Amino acid sequence: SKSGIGMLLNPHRLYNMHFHSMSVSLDSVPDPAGSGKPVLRYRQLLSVVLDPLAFGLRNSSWSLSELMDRRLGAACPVASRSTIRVVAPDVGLHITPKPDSASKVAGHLVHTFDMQKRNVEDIAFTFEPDAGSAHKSTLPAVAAYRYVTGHGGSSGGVESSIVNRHAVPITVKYLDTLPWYLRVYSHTLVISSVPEGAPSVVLRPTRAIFTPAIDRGRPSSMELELELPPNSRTILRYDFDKGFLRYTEHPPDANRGFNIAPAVVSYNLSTADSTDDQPLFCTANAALLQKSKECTVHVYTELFLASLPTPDFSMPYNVVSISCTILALFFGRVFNLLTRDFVVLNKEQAHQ
Amino acid sequence: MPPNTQQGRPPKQAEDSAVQPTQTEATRLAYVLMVGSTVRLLAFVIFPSLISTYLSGRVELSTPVTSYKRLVEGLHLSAHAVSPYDGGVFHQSPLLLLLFKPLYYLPSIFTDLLYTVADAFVALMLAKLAALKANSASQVSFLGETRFVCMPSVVAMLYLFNPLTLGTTLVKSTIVFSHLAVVGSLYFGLQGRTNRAVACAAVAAHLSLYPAMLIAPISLMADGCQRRCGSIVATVAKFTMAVGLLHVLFVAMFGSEYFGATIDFTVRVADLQPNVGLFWYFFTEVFDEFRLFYFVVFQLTALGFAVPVSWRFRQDPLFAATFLVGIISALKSYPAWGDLALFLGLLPLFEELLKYLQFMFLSANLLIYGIALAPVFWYLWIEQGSGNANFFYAATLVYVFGQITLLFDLGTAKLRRDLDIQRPEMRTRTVIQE
Repeated sequence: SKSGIGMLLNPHRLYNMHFHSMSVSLDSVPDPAGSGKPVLRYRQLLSVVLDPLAFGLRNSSWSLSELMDRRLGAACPVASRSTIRVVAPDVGLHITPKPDSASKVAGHLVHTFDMQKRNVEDIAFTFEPDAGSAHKSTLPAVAAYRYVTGHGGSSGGVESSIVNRHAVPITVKYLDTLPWYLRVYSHTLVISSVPEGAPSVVLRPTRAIFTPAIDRGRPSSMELELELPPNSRTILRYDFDKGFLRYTEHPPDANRGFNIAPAVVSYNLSTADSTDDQPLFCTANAALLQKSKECTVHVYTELFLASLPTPDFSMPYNVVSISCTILALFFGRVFNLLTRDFVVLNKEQAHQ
Repeated sequence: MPPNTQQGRPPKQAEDSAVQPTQTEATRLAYVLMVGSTVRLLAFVIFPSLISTYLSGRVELSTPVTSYKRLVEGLHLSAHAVSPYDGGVFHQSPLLLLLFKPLYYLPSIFTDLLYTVADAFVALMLAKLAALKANSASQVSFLGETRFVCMPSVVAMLYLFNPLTLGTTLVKSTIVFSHLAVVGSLYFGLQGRTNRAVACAAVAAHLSLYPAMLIAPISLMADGCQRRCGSIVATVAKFTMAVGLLHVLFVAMFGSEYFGATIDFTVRVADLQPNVGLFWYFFTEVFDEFRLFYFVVFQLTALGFAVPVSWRFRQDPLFAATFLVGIISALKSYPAWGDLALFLGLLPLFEELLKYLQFMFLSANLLIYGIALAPVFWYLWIEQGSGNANFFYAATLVYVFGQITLLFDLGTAKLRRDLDIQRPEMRTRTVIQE
């Protein structure tokens, strides 16, 4: 039996969506209990964009049970906190039943239902006729793209571009990890920034940590702290060489290639600023945790496929036997050369 | 020392007068060295983009243990306080790190100059080896033999203008320094300066592992020189001490992980980047259970012939050394065309064996086919994607087989000539080996 958020997760509805993203993150944070020691924090996040029209509901009024085809139940007994937070525009939305509390965060109104205090079975939303156009979405402050350059199967390059849409400089941390078989040349890293309407300047990272890969051991990682100029596009570029894997290390469909994990660009947002481009989770978190005024936003680039040159998989026996034949030819000939003496062919000479 | 001061210094000569006037020969050598250096410097300065587009990425010329790009990466890492040997792409000797550290901060023309001078020195040493050999007491010939004495300038020219050598220098492969140490050790050994020879051999062993085999002919040279320059045991002991000293020095400077990243890396063929040898495809395809067995077999075959070859050709240690250089070129774990270039550079010293070679046409053809087809098949496999790895593998097989044929032929020629000198009446007879 399920309780808490698990009751709402209906795959038939969730996967009939416009967008979804699942993430698991593990990081080390200062102990929220205040003991001063760092603790590991494990987070699971599921982001889904659902359209009520896809399920035959009217846009102006629908309820959570109609959308998800599930009713809410009791809060999870092992949870220390179980809440439903609704980020809503200031006016134009009626929520039934009435939420427990409402707080204003950065220009949005956040309504909170505390599931541990009361048992809510269903939440209904009704929009006033002219309220739909109130909320406009703006692009986030930082966007990041990454793609692979170069041609051929022996080497290539990675080019990342980070866009700062704000009129103020933003400090971002760029983390890029590449598996060991893409051998990164850190000396080829070039960072340049193109502010709007100005020529490009070379940007130097304020901090840089590069950990080279160990073959079949660890991936290489590059962490840079960059100060992005306002209204600019920053381009990072570096080269890599493609490694050659052993016969057994190639995946079953070897010519597909390997998915290379995206790079992560993180920056801190202060939730006190009432900017339109604050991500929803920042707003929702700020309503709950009154003490943290900062929210870390992670922007993920695209991943790319690296196709490594493959050996011929049908030939292990042939290769071993042919190479050993050449080696045996060498050994046999040189061994004969070293150990045998010359004898004249003419038999009469031997008798004399 | 720049080559154009050679005009005042004739090549080393024994007391007896030579057949050809020494001053003309020295001048010719100086010209050859100057032209060779000029060609290289011009290529570096005028065609850097052509070199980086067409030559620098060639796996036939640069290997994971000799690549210049990886050297720059190692320098960059060590300049930023990251250990270059802790993973990463750098697998070259700390000697090269120390040599190139000042050059990292200077403009690139100094690196080009360094490579040009190193190549010129190798050619100079080869020329001096030729002069030494021509005048040494062990040079015998028999009655009626027509000899074309290979002049030092010709030896230098054949080395400097060999396209393989030129290609190796233009991609700045660090095998050039290993060649320098190898040829230096042979030169000093033949001169009788055992200590310098042992030092050069120790440096060569640290730069690329396989020249350690050359201690066998060098100790024979020391044993056989007129002034009893040192016994075999003493030479081997000095060599072991020199290698150990360098090892201790490097562990102190870079930590013990340098050994796993350099020498151990070469031995266990950790990086499977294709090259012109046998090992890469073999170790790509072999199953993991047999990996240890096969790399022991391969390394033993490559390294195990040091003592037998030196013993068989103990009357002519320089020939034994050439033979071992040929074995290194064919069977080392990361060979390149540069290794063949050194072997082909040492061959003209033995031009008296030219007429005894039976398979010259075969080995020349095999080598030319192997060298010409390897880049074509690489392009088909990697760039175009229409060929597969077997094409390139076949080209490398042909190349290695050509080297083996040349080696075997050379050895037979040497033994036959020795027999002809020993028993001149057998010259016209057919002999077989039994």
